[in-house]
Amino acid sequence: MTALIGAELLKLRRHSILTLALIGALFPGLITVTMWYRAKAGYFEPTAQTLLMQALLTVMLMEGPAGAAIIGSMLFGREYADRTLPNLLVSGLPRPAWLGAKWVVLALLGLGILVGSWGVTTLVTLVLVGPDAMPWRMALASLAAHAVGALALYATSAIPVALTLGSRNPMLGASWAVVMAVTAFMGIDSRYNSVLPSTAPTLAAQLALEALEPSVVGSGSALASQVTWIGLPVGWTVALACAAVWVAGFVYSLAYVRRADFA
Amino acid sequence: MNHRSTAVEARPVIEARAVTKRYGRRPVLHDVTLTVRQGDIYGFLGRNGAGKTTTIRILLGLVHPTTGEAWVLGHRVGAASPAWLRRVGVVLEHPGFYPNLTAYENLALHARMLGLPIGKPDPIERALATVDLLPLARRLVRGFSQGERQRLALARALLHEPEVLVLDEPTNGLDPYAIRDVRELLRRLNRERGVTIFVSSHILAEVQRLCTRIGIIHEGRVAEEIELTRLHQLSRRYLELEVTDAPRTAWLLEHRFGITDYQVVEGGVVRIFDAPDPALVHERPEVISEALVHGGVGVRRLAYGQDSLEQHFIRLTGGATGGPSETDDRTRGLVYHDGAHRR
Repeated sequence: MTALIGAELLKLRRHSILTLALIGALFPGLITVTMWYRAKAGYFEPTAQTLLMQALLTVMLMEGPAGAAIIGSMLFGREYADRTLPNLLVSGLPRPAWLGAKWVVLALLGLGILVGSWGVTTLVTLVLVGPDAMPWRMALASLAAHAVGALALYATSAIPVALTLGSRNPMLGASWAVVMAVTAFMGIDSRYNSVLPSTAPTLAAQLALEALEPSVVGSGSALASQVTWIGLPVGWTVALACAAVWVAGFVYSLAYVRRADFA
Repeated sequence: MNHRSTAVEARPVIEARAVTKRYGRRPVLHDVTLTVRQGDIYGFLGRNGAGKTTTIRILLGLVHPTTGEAWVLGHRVGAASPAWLRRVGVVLEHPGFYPNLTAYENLALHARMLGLPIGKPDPIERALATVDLLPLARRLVRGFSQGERQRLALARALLHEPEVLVLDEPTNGLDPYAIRDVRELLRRLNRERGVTIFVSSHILAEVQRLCTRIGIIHEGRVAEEIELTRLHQLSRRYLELEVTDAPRTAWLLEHRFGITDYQVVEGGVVRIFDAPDPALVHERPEVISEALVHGGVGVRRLAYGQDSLEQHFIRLTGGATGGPSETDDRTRGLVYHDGAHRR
């Protein structure tokens, strides 16, 4: 399995997916700077806490769902685009192991982007507010929330991956990113944010943050106020829903590469 | 060599048994049965769209047959573990590579997935050198020509020193020198390492030069499987006449000599394969020539010829020997069936 993961990582060398990942990791830093100047203009209180919260929301609600759809589709879809899938299937590899390695690499990429974006956001915030005003406990809780959100994003990326495999084209999977972007904008309106797929990672991250750092509640995010009354049962529901989506996506992928004709 | 002992020694390595494939209502393969024995260089010959690639993909487990079974190296294709595929080297039609990686990296990736040890001597460099690609080892595959990609595919197929090679049109896009090199390489692998080779092609001359056994597929059916040596034995000698009036010649052949096993080819050429008195065709052609001249037909040329694989193939697949529409309808019934002439 380690060799297969190594082979999957080697495939990423010089690939545009890495540039996308880098942009994904840097983007929240830019948002943090923008937020800082909006805060200074009087829109909200310019504290490290609000900046970190806004960056987290930006990643989970706006960038993450669409990014996961695009990267998931690219990672699996390129095997069709480059006509390499039939070669993989005739190389004698156990197909579950090969698919598993691909999912592990997708997880590593997602985690890398999320941890990277947290690092960039924290660094930018640190520069803007100064080391003395930086609540480190909050920053670390935000890191954990990023990781939880990344897991939820990873799980939901099973949908575009399944769409890519089924359609044998990365475009259909990538178009899932549009659905996620649209629902993310709807999710900004708190009336919908507990029922839309794009808000699942946000909820997961918010709940993790709430559990680790209760002081965050009421810090200005639209979702944060809901977290108090939604409570942990919803957290479990979100986690189970995400896991179910991922398992369904993996089982479908496996069944597909086992049963489909590659004429 | 004793035929019986050959049959005992050469075990089947690749077998298709009554394989049928349909896509929806469209049939692609009908009852395909073929056997490739150990040590064979088996040429799978057919026109474009005849079903070669579908058959190969069924043998490799990429396409599931509608009915029938395929066996490779004693394993039923489609059964749970594809581990037997590690003993097979494959070149698919339009081979795929990762364009962002170099030739070396593409093979390294394959080696890593198969768990091949990379030591000294480096098997990747050796495989690249085998197909004369070592100078391009560090170049990105994105910039490779079709011929270079084809050679790289061959290097990938050879990397793990397989027992069996399955090659789908491996000389696509290669120049004549490269085609000759590939042919020599395959012969050497077969001779020195006993590699069994299954190679599909629509290039008759290539198959004739390389293969020891030939399977001809036409419109999704295996029309014939034949040893090349047997084919040479069966290749029919004929008397070829270039005449001024082909229809009159046909009439004279039938009414004067009772000859019906002949063929009218374009440009006033008539080929006589056999006659009720075979000596007339094969020993005393001047008798026919004189009769034609007395019958008012000018004879410009008279020569002997022999069926090539091309003619055999065209006859089997229902095409015209001397051009698409010039063959006399009477010759259409002259097909080989089960390796024997039907007259």
